[in-house]
Amino acid sequence: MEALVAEHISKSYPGSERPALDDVSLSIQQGDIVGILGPNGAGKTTLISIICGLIRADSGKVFVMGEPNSSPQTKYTLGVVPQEYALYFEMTPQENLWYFGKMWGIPGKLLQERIDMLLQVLGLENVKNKKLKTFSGGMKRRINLAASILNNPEVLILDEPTVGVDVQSRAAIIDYLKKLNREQGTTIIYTSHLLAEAQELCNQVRIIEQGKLLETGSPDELIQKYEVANLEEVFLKLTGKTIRN
Amino acid sequence: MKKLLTGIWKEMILLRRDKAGLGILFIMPAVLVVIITLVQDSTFQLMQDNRIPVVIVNQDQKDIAKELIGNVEKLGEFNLEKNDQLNLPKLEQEIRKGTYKVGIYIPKGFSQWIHNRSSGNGEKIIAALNEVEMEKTDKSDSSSIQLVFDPVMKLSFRTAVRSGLETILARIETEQMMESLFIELTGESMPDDVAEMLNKPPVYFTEKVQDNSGKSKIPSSTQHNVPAWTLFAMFFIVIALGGNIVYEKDQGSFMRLRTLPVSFMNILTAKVLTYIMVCFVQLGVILIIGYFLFPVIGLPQIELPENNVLFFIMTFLIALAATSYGMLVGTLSRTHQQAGSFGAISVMILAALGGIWVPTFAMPDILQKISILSPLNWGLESYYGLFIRNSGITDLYIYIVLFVIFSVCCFSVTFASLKKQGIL
Repeated sequence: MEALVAEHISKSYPGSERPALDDVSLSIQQGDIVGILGPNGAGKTTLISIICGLIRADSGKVFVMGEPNSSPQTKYTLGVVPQEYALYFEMTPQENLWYFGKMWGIPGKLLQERIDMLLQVLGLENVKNKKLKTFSGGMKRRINLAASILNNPEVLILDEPTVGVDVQSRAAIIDYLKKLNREQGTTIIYTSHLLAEAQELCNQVRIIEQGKLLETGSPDELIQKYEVANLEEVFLKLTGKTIRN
Repeated sequence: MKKLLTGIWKEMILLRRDKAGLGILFIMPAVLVVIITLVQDSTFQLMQDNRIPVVIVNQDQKDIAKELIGNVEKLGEFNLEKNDQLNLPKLEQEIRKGTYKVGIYIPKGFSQWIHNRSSGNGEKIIAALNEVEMEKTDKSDSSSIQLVFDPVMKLSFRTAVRSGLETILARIETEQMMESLFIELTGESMPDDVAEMLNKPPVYFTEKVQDNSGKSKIPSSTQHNVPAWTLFAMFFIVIALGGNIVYEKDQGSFMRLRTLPVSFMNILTAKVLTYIMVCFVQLGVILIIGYFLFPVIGLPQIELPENNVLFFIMTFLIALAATSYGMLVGTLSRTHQQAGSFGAISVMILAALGGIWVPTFAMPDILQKISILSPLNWGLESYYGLFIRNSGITDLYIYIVLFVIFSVCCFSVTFASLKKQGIL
């Protein structure tokens, strides 16, 4: 079954010379881990924002687990980890997770069990009552992830979830995402600049450039197709070496 | 409902942990209301409670001068001190030094001059009655009382002192003239009952401070400052609330909340209700200070409004207006600093225009006209109505309408701006 279908998505921002997205269509199977890769300004965040319903496409449709993404039901099936921390630094992890969990509508007892489980798995149990403002970037990223998966979403979208974090925190996040996918069958869609990480985590990648979908396939398929050593070389072959702003 | 309550719980936590914000919301207005009331109360007492230090120098030491001093004492408006050792230059020096605010210098020969003037006038009246031409001789040499004022004394006060003395002197002079007339006509001195009758003031005044319940309340620095600084504090939530909204926009928590199954109106309503509660707590804190602390430190105790329901309604509407303004400032601001500085400066300006610091009647005409645009002015007038005049809903309905319109406008612009920013 398709977890996500995007049909002919186009989006232009006022004052921009070219569209941020130009007739992009993609489908993602349930249980896949899909990396959406592209250089700066390629349209990754715009695509993710449209899928999450945060911004409206000029044209095209998005379906999540068979439902239009504008449907209220989608908010229960979709989890979003934004690139920003999107947390309250004056509050503790326990308080942050309790607040967002309640906004999901999770009953108190069940919510507390999930909070305890997530804090333990993500290595934050000992600091659950300390304010976030005292945390490192990696710790904040882990809380950011936890706040988005409290509801056990069927589809999880992550926008650069490991940017600016230490190796240990990145490993913890990647391990947990794999576990989530393996044990609960969660479909994971994520964007990253770290192509080695994408190659390690994803069984599918979509490469976009200048608002267009350039390539679709598994990392191995693409490496074979372009006769290169790794995903990074595929990426450079497709998008060139010009530095982007 | 559970989500709304959770939203309020979250706002309370954020507010509780914002120490600077709490200081601005509660400590600053509490300190201000005490300091400003103390400062203004000394002025009130200066004007009302015999506190103006006045020195009388009596170089004459005769009957009229003594009677004049006795009458000034009876006025009870000054803190009188007699010092006959001073001469005029020394008196002027003491006023310059600020020892006294007002000096009354009665020169030598003043009583004789009044006697001469009175008897001269009496003789003129008799001569006129008898159709006798009088020889034009002036029996009286000019001898005036010298008033010396500290430059800080306002013109209105100087005029009031002079008028008071003129009234006393006119009565004494009339009495003297009548007595000399009586002696001229009857050859006997005036009987005591007639003299007493002449001593009575010609017109009686009764004074009443008018309010809507018929019960007089004496305006005091407390009755002015407690409502005024409560309003100021309520509108100062703009800084905390504006900063809070900018923070949520910056940190992306608004964005995350939009991906959750909760209405964004629910999130905003939680903010509004939290800050309305904060306004009520601010009111409570300042009223407690006015009721319990003020009498302890020698200030008049606040007299609470009698119409509690209307007091609650007006406070709710003022709080709603302040909150809606805070939401607007937070939404339109791009940075925390922008929200803080614009919020603070705009509230200062609205407070100054609204009559929080200086009553609007003391402002120039143009400012008085502009002041009616300030919601703090509407709030102050409403609270004056409740705290001082015992106004009812018919007196205050215009302010109710204004606050509702103001809040609706602020919320409308807020929603439009949030929509434009892609948050709503």
